[in-house]
Amino acid sequence: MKKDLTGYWKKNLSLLITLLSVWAFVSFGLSILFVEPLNAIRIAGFPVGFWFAQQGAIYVFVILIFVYYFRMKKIDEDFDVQE
Amino acid sequence: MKGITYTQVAQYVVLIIAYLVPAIAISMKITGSVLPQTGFGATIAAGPDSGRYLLDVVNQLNTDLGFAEYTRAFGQGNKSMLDIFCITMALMVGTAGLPHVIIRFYSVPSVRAARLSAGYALLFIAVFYTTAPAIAAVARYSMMKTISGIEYSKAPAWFRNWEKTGLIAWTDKNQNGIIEYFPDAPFAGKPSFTGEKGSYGQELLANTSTDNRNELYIDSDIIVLANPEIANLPPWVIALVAAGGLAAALSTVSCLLLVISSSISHDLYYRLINRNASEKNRLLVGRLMIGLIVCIAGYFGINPPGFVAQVVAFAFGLAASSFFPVIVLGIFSKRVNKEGAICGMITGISFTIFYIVHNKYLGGSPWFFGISAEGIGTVGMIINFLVTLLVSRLTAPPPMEVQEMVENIRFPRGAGASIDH
Amino acid sequence: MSILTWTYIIVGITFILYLCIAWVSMVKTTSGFYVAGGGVSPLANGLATAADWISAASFISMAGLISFMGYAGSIYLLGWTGGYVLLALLLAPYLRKFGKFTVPDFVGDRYYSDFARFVALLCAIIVSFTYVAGQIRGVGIIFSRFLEVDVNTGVLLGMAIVFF
Repeated sequence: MKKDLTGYWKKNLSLLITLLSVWAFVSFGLSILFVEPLNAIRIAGFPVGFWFAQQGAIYVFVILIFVYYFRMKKIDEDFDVQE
Repeated sequence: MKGITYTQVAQYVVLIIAYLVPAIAISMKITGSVLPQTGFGATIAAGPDSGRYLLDVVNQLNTDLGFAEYTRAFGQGNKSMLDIFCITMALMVGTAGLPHVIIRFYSVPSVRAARLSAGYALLFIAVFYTTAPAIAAVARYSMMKTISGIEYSKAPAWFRNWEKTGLIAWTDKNQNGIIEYFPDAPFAGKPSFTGEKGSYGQELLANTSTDNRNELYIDSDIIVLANPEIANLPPWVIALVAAGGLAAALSTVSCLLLVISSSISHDLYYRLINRNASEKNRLLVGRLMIGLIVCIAGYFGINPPGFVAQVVAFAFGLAASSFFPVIVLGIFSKRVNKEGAICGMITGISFTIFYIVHNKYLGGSPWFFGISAEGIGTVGMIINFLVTLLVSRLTAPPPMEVQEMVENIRFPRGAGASIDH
Repeated sequence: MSILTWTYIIVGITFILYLCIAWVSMVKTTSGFYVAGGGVSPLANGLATAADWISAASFISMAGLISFMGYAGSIYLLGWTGGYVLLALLLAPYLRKFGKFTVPDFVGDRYYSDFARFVALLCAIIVSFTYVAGQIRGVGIIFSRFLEVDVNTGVLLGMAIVFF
């Protein structure tokens, strides 16, 4: 049976684009481009932009890879291309 | 590969304990917070600054002496936004393009395991990387408090311990016996001691003094190693840090040397020069090359172009500008062909090497929009992407079987064990 | 006990530990040192990757650089963690499926050219070499402190240990 590989690849790409957008927004957006306005806000002793650059972004990165793992597992099974 | 994998697991355990123990101890001592990650956003527990936020105090100590505010992003005395952007990008993309990182994902049994393994890897890395900024901020605080404006004769013991290694030095410009710390270099170049002692017992320097007020030279490399001493932790913690540093260095070097030796014995010698080479011959070639590389690397270790992290930062720029674009395009595009990839890699890495050498060794200025040598890999990467795509478009598409291979690597089913050579 | 004695004890214990593990797993893998194929669990591989990744540069220099740079030190924090997202999403699964051992192998096969393989190989060597140089400097700095010698002597010692 010929598998729907085009459909699978499209699903994969759209997941990648979503996750990479979050990646770019947190690292380059919140931590670099908008760091100055965010630094005006404070949570405890942390200016928020500074916190994202030195803490927050890293936590988000970890979450992104695990989300990717679980979503891909589901997509692989839906299209029956898992190992 | 499997052999060193389990040794590396042990090395991770050693290095993370060595990193966390002093970090937690210092965090508890200064802010009373057990987690260093939250500690550097907390208030100082004791002393004249008690009750104030640590970062506020560090900001003030910095600005009092004329340094830029610790948490401030851009502006006077800081890197530009574009530069920060480019360096971050170069380091990220370089990480993904480093050969010794990529080969790790061949050791797991399946594609799904490769994805999960990347998640675990980043989780364990994150434990370390979220602790580092906490150590940095707390060290800045204790450093400013214990040395700046203190008489040399009353300086703490660790100061003299580290003076012997040439990583810290003091030149008493105004002859008042007080260690005065301001921005800019206190003298030209790295410290070179005359071997004689000054009137306060300090090591005298042969370097030419600069005409600013700063009297103190501190190599940034000593912060982690001296931090337990600065915080007066027991001697076994200091020893633990030495063991952790060695674990970190050895685990990385063993894997890198494996990559270099397999590149040379497998890719160069076996695949390109002598197709009939015996296994024994290939291993011997690999071994010899390791020796040669260690010697050349040692020379650069003695005459480094920057701090440790900066030397390494160049490797990232080079990886970003050579591998990453051709690998990503090789997977996500069926149209890119050999002409494109070869031109792309050559232009990308040549541009990056040229810019770094011109800036660091030939005294050139960062002429490309003020982007520093560490961040130029981003530009090299973009050049590589553009050249690869453009040249591919102008030449014939790759053969059918290559296009099928690309199709085939896009889904997990059928991934067998990695093929040994 | 003095710092020096403690250092010898702790460094000695950890080195014996590594040698034991290397020896035990060496016996298991008779089919050669470079065989990558499959037997490592994702968790163990994740831990090993982390050890591999946290280099002398990140261990010794990074917190120090951040300490002097303040906010700008974030480049190292973001750069050396964010790259794993790219690696996990864009490269690792596909290269695993491809299944060959080295990066030049992928480039050589995907671009059906020995010349491309050679260029990739040259890049791999330049990159790894630059990286090793930084590491050896790092080992030198640690040795210089714990044996109380000059950094350059420490570098030479580090070279000897790494080669061994």
